[in-house]
Amino acid sequence: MPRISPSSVRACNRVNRFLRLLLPACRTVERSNLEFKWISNELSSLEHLNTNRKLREAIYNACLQRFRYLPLQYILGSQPFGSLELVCRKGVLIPRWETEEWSYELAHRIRKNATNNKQKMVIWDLCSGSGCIALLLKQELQAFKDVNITALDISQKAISLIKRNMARNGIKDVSVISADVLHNPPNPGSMIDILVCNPPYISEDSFVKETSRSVKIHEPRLALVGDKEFYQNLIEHWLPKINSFVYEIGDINQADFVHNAIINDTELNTVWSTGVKRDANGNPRVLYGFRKNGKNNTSFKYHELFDNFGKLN
Amino acid sequence: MISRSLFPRLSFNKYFRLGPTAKKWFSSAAENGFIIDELHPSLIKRVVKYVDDMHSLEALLSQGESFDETTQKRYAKVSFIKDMYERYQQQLQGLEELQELIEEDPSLRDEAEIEFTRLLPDLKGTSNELLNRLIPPHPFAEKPCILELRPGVGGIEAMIFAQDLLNMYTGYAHSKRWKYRIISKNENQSGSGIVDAILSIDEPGSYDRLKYEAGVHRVQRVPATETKGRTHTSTAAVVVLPQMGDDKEVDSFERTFKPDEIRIDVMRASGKGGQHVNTTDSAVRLTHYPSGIVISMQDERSQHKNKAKAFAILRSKLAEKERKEKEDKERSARKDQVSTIDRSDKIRTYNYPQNRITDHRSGYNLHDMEGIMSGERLDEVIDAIQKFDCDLKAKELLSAD
Ligand SMILES: C[S@@+](CC[C@H](N)C(=O)[O-])C[C@H]1O[C@@H](n2cnc3c(N)ncnc32)[C@H](O)[C@@H]1O
Repeated sequence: MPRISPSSVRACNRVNRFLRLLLPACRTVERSNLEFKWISNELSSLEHLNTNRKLREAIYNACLQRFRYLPLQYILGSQPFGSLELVCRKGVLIPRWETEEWSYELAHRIRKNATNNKQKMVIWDLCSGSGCIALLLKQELQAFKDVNITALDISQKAISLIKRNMARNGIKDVSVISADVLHNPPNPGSMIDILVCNPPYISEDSFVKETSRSVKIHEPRLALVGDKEFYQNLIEHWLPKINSFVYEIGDINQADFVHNAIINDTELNTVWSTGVKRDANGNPRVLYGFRKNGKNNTSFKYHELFDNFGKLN
Repeated sequence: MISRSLFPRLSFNKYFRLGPTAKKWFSSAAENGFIIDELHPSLIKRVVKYVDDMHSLEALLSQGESFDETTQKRYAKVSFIKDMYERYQQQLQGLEELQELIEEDPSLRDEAEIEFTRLLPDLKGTSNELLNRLIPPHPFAEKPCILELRPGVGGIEAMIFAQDLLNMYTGYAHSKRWKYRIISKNENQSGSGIVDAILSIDEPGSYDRLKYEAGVHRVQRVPATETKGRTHTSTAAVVVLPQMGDDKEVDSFERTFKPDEIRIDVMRASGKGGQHVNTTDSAVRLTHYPSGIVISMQDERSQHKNKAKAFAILRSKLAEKERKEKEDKERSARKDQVSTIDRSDKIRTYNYPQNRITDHRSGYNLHDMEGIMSGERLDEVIDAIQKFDCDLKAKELLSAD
């Protein structure tokens, strides 16, 4: 009683043909297999692909796009991020797992350290892109009635994607602002408790040498390339207006830059503590800082909020 | 207040079904499908103990003594058992009389059969009530469960068999309208079958049924690739775990570990990571040092979700491990002579050429491979092993007294 039917043998060949298309972007057979599984699972749940033929064609086209290094997230149109399912569109950066990791951790710390669920919090997310950080915080802090979250980006594509992602995940009450953080930064009406930001942090040099092909060809340069400017902007523009900050970094130099600026300033160094958090892969990933004593009856005890978050300088 | 009639009835050997005549009519009624599931004799012995206990308590009462709270509770328990047991006897007697009619009086047979079928569930209900009082319920009886499947010996054929078992369990859940999810599944890259799979069955109480599936399953059949038509023997292993809470609870569970107890490895990508790359590096490996349990998860496109799943499974594994250790300790403290179900042994054989499955613990046979492999008749096998287990437990209890 044969259990491998001729048609499944053919299916196997088909799989291999598809896998070969995935290999350049995925690099290993194992990862190609995983991506193939995700592609076929997600496409087969789409209603309009209701015949085998249509489905096979769609899967083939997806693999072909991947062969041209189009990111899987743009092909499938989404990326899960913590408890959220985010829409991904060409022109807006795809959320990374490193960002998911630290922002989820941050949300948990905020929950744990808040005095009660009436506590007022003001959180700003600069360079919001898909809105991933702002929306995840909003979602994870839904028990808190008085969290005020603002998401900001310079790109119109990002702005409309943030709104779309709010609708998709049933999230309300996040202010979305279109602004240029570097040249025309908006003034928040009140003191910001936590400023989060994942700015473009790849230097020109690193963009050429250390950035993968799919990122280079298909993700927006505007979202990627930057050196110290956003960290400089943090020191010059934001520090007086905030109680704490969490900035993603691509290189330890960026953290050192901010840290040195603070300790070399006789006023700032009495007020601010800074630290660096590594990601699960061991790379320095987050620069954070907080006022040693808060300001304006702040709502958090920041040294507790960031206790063991990373390593203090 | 006490029914004296209990005692003479108990000592009647009809409860032990020893008499040759009794045996004869009983089996012929059984052939017609009118079977009574009686309580195991060792359980009956236990009931007698309770009734004795009740007598001594009542003797105390009549001497004007008053009970403290624990004694009151004990008294309530034994009176309940006594009442249930009386009801059980009445129902049993009624059914036996009907059996006799079915056997001996053709003119009344049809009506008797209808009546028998109507009354049988009552007896089952009463038996269950009694069983629940007499045998302590499994600590995870109410839980939903997780099944882990892995091929054993037999190469690709074992992988195909593991896939077949996975289909059997999803079919089983489906036929019972239980919600289930395949949490993770790794297919054999170079052909058919699976390397491993984790199936979550979200129905509360499914653990209590499926716990009997844990162990090594063996298949005998002619593989598709076998040119000479020889029968091969291969195996697959099933692990059954309780689900210990929902996603939110898992999140706080994750935070109960000290940093040095747990290690989380992600797919190690060299290079700078972050914005520099956009491949989906979501695979996670979780190591729990105190127990040595390692869990890898890569099915989700989100690392966060893979981590949450891995922690949920760790939680189940730790709970099951703790339970087993406790059970083993209790058992060795009793120096049990009663043989128990050994999970490391092969529990069942699926013999395709003979269209037969045999459960080696209960000795139960079923000749319907398709019915089993579709999951639709799996319940019958589980019923048999459950009954077997119940009897075993009853004996264990007795030897513990
Ligand atoms: C690295 S992406 C981060 C997106 C998102 N926060 C995330 O973590 O996936 C940087 C974002 O900054 C935006 N951006 C670049 N220059 C900006 C500027 N001068 N002012 C505001 N936003 C800017 C880009 O449009 C892009 O969406």
